[in-house]
Amino acid sequence: MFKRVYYWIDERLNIRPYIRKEILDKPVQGKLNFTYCFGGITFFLFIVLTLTGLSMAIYYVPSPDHAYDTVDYLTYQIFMGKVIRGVHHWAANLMVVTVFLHMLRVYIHGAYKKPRELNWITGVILFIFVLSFGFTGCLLPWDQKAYWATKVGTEMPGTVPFAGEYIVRFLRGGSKIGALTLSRFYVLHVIFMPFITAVLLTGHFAMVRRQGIAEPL
Amino acid sequence: MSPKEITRRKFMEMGIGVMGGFISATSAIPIIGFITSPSLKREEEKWIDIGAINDFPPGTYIKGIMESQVKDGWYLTKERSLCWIKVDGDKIIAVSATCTHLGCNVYWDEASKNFKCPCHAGVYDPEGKVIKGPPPRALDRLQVKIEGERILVNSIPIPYKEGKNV
Repeated sequence: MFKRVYYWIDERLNIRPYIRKEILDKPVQGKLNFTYCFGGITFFLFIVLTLTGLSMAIYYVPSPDHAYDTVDYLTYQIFMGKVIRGVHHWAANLMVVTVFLHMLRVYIHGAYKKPRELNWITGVILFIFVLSFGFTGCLLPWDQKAYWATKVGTEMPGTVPFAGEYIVRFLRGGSKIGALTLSRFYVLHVIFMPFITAVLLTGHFAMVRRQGIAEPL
Repeated sequence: MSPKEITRRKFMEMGIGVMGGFISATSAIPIIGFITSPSLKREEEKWIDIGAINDFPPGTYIKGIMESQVKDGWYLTKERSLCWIKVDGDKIIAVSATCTHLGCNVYWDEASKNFKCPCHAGVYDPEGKVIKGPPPRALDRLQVKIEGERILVNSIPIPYKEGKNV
């Protein structure tokens, strides 16, 4: 069945040579070891987070009077709720670890040097995005930990000279953390940031393909 | 053709660039305004009743709970925040409980006679001035007003000034 669909598509678009050349028959280059896997593991976790996150978005309501209750509902009353939310939680934590190990390997091998500077830059931006995902996602259960973590976290840019107060206000959608902060963080967490991350990831991977994997020095 | 000469093609390209820039700019202004406008709204000043004078035995700091109706964006809700009240003769001191470091609630530690912050170990003296830890400035003060037997505090904290207590 799958084969027939594939042949049907291939007959029209002639994709087989590309799939052969780029994926199936592509030789693995140079001396690689397990430390080269962390980037791939991070991407795998990104997919896991997308799937579990999309599933939870079906039940979650980002409003102060419903957020906590809907999280409670999707965790304890929906079939496999604990698992889906648990996997999302642990994959998110693990992602910070794997992305850091990936970065460490690139740094130690000097793989950020010319001509791969652009890949390093997109990588650093993606790293910041990973941390921002953690920060915005933390608020969504709308419990005490969420509230105070976000209060302290959004207070930090307040120390920036001159613009500090406005950055804080912009992040919170007002002077205090409330309904507008929650919907802001939600929409950043599930729409804006995943979209930008996907675009940056595409560039990140395309550049690896174009330039090849850097050999250790 | 001299390099300075503008060809028809070059002119068209520039025209497209200018028009594209104009369209982007004119659509960016309403979008940015739409996204940021609630952030720029100032908080309204309110006087909040925190209890009768008799609820605050003189001489030490007692926790005052400020509860008020607020309009949080589209959401009408009750907001609770803390302050510390000391009745001292005919003077009433109201210290904001919001740590000046990163906004946690400080508590009055009767044993050491200091305000302490549980988040990053900031310590303030009974006046609210910083003794130890990361806070950049003294605890804010709240304006106090007495109506009959009730104590009212202002919802907008004001920075502490040496010798100019309210």
